[in-house]
Amino acid sequence: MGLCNARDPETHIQKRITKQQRLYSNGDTLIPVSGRDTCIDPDLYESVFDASGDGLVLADRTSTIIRANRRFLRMTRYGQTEVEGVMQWSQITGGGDLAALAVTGTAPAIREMRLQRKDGSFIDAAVTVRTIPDRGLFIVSILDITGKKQVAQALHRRDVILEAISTMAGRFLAAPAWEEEIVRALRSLCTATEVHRVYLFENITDPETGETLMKGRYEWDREGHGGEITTPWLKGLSYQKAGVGEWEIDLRAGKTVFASISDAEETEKQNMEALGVQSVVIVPIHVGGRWWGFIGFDETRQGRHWTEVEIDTLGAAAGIIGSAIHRQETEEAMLAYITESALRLKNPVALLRENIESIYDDIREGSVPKEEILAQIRVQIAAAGQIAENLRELNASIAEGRREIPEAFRIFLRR
Amino acid sequence: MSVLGITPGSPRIVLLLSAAHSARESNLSVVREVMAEGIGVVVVTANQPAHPLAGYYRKNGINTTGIRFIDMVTKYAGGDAPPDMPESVFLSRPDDLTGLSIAITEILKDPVDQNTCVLVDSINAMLIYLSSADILKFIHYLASKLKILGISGVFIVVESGIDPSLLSRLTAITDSVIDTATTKGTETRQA
Repeated sequence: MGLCNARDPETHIQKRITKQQRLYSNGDTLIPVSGRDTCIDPDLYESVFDASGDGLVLADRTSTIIRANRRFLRMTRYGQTEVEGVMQWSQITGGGDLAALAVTGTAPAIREMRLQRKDGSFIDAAVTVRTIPDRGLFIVSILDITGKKQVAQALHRRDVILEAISTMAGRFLAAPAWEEEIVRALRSLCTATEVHRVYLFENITDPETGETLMKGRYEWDREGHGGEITTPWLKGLSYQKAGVGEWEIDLRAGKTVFASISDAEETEKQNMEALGVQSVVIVPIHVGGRWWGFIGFDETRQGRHWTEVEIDTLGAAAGIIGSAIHRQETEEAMLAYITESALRLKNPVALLRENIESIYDDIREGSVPKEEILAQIRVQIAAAGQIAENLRELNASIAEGRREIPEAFRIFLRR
Repeated sequence: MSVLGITPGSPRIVLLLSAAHSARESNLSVVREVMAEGIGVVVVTANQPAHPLAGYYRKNGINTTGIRFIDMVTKYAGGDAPPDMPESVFLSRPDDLTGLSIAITEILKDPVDQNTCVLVDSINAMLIYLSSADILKFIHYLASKLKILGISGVFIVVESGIDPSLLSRLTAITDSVIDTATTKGTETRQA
């Protein structure tokens, strides 16, 4: 092979032995290399071993790691001297030796397992262990699939959340009032997202200052407690005073807020610490284009990773709740319109009719002075004018609040 | 027979339900019965102008000397305050509840007015000019004020013209409800 021929044979042999010792020594014996191997520069072996995109480990029959490549060291965050010749495979897997994992045939057996890093954190890995026949050595190939597993978990969690949302949407549609279904909906979301607590807050306006306040309405927690929020101080809490003034800006703009105790601002962090919360996701609820409030998800466990997919899904949940509230508000507005129309249009017209009949009777009897008849007629004309004005006002009030009414109709209703 | 149960020294707040076709007669019956008890009447009228109404009373044999009017509609309809009704008040606009409150306060400030009944004719007519919410607040205010002063009040309602929610709220405000349309003067509730 070209590589062999290009070098001084003696130097090459010596170097090869040194490398072979590093690569293939099992302590006592040098392992013979095949004729094909002798033609490859050991530097190349070293380079290929170290440059592999997968973690590679060579271990002896006692599962002691005698060689580990750079990728493996980066993956596990150990130094080379902490691994080679001193570390047992079982130390990073929490038990078990390589012999039990090894495949003797040609087909590789890939196993998924969790490996513990030096700092105590874990990686998900696809591990293949092969034996080197007659050498008592194992070659272990380790592929980091942590990201892939997280994506799979996130997708699974998204599916679970979507299923909860789907059920929730159906129930909201069937319920006469969203308040009747909201606790059950929060419970489903709490279970689906596996968070500690889910809660719903509505915005109210401070009658004196005009400031937007948050008012706790309903909640549910993992322990199975929940219902209407009755805590007095949560019935009108200022965003500013709660240390989350920035939330108000973001939520009003339709942005979801994510906060983790590790990078929260001081006042926000104090709040989270007081509540024992590690991370929180706050999703705004908009009703008919106006910011109505928010739904919050508190996580008390450390290291909860929220993916964009999950957060988007929570946005869908907030959308469903917003739609249910909007539908109910629309129905209530329509009922109020019909009632007010009856009170201020239909019934006054009936009253007008009765009054005109009385005037007619007075005229027919001829006993009421003309001036008084005229005064009565003037009042009824004024009343008729007012009734027409009432109709215009009622139509305008409906048109103002309904974005779905086309502009041309809106103008017509306001005339 | 006393339908309202209003007597001197026994003030009551009554919601009088009337049929649409007999609202004017119901008004007349209240005035007649209250005056028969020796009680003066303050008529708050949003349905008919005060002058023709006074003529209607006289035509039906009632001495209008003891009757004062707070007229919410004459001026609004372009008319003037009649010179022969100096003790009555004519408001500029029927939706001016502040003006109405002041007028009622002014007209009741004399201690002799303790022996008085305020008749509001009618809540239905007021609904032409005011929202149900505003009317409810005003009636609540007026009923409370009359109770404090020990003065009777009668609010005429054309029953078919009021929605159940507003009717139940008005019922809660008053001492009793009398349905002249269906029971011919039988009291349906005693607070």
